[in-house]
Amino acid sequence: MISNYIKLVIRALGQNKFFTSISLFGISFTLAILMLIISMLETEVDTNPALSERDKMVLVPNLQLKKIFYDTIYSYDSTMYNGEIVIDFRYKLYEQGSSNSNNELAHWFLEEHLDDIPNAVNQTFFNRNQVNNSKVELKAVYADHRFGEVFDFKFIDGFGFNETAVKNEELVAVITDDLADKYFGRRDKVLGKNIEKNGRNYSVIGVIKPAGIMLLSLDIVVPYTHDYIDSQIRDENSFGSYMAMYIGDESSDVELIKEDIKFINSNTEVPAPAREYFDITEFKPYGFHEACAGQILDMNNAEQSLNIMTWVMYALIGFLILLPTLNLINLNVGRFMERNSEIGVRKAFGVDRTTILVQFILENIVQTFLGGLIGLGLAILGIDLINDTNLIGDIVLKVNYRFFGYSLIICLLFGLLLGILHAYRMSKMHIVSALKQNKL
Amino acid sequence: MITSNQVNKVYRTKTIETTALHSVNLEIPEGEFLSIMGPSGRGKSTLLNIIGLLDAPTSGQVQINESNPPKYNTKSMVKFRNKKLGFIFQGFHLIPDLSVSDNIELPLFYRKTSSKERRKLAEEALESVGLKNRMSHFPSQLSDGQKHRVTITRAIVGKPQKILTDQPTGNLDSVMGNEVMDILMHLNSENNITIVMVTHDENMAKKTHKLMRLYDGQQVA
Repeated sequence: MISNYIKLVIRALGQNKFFTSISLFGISFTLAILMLIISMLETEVDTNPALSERDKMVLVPNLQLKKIFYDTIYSYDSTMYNGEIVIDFRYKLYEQGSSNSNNELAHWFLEEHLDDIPNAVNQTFFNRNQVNNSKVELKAVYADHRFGEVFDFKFIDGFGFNETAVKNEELVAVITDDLADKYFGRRDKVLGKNIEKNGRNYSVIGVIKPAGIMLLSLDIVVPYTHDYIDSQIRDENSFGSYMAMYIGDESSDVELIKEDIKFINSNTEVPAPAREYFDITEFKPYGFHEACAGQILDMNNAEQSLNIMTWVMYALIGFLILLPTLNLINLNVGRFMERNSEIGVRKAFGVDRTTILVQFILENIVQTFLGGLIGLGLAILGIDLINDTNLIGDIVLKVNYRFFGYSLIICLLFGLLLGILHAYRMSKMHIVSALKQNKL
Repeated sequence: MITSNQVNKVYRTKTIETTALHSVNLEIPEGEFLSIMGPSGRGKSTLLNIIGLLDAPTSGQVQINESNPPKYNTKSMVKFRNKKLGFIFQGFHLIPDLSVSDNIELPLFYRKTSSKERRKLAEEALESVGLKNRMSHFPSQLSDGQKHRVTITRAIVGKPQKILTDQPTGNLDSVMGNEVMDILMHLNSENNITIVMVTHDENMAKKTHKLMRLYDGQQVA
């Protein structure tokens, strides 16, 4: 029985190949685009290595030095009257101004003020640099030995550097397999080989998979003690190129870590060299997602930025799911209208309402799954293409099958609900009226 | 036996009331071949639809085999129609995305006959009209004459007691028209199937056992 229904469905879809193709294309293309967008979003905000524990992370990305000053500014209105300037001596008074300076932090400043936060179980200070004086252009990270503990990079070979290596300024490096391929022409068996950076040869001790997200887009990680400019010249500027990442035991520790940092901030004076120009020091802690949203919209209102971004994302996803759904509904209405006479004939020869309902519902299901499968295929092809061609840098996209399932179910449910409504109307259709619309 | 007793059919819209049938009384014994004639739009097809249980009368009764048919538009009515009646429509009304064989199997499919049995009956029926070699063809691949034979085959495959047909020769030339008429007469004489046929063709009507004329929804002869 069911095989007969399926046979009928396949034939019904094949009846108007152009119409069916357009509809399938509509469903599959929008689903594929949706999956690509989700894949990109997920890569940035979901829990993948090397940010598996991002829900427990707190970032201090920068330092702001501020000066609030009080100036009295008198403002007068003037106008021309009979060719002469007439001044209104009633003035307006302005009494406040401010200046501020904003940048990432110096390593010594982090060590001095933001080391060992009580509620954090681990922390790392790191920076990101673009290095051009090598055989290939490098995205380098200077970091401490805990960088690899906070960020759980997937090691293909070897291991990260330890505290001793950092202290002794050992010339060791952890590189990505992509860099290994570019630099040595192979991804394996590169441990112990030398890689040149800033005129020095670093020995490769570990090979990792790229993290595939913007924040940790890197080729090579070396001990921060090689970063002489920023880590060793400690007595000058509190600004530098470093940021701090803390990690708690539980995601609920994030707020506690933030409170710790805010408390430290309230007791931190402006570093001596800057006191002449500034009198307030501000380093704000952000949850990981807040920091991402803040960087895109407004870092000063990171929490609000995250809310806005979340709602925009939901709206976008909703809108994109709506497109294939509307397409499906449109398809159903069109197809049902085309098939009045067929329903009339079937009813004349003994089909009951239930059977008509089942047939149309089954057609919906087959159509949606067909469109969905094509969409999935397109998404996989698109994601492979983006990954293979490095179209968006090092970011490695993945197919989210769970999201694909949800989208398909939503399309199916909406299509089904409206399909059932139309199928019900068709099943109630008067046989004689249906037969009179002879389209067969 | 099909009987109709004071059958009336009135179509109503918000502003217009049209009487399609007015007190029609009929008696069609088993095995009779009745033709219904009359000008266009004067109630012939409406009467056929009511006799065929495709439409309900506004008032009056139709009896088939001396019992009242099940209530209109119910599951038992659908079953009754499927088992006892066969239809040959004016247009072919073949479903284009089904093969000839699948079109013919339609009444059997809804009777839940096994696919093997359906195929066997469809083959037999198609052989009787000389179209066995067209089983896997689609309607678009057939001539009009062949399509007519397929619609007749679809009507008889379930071995109904009665066949109702609306202008079966209307769109055909005289040769094909006669061919179709011969098949219907053969079914009537050999299988004792009661046939009610609406037609405009006096010559075809003369070949049937009885002729009934309708004018403005009223029986005139």
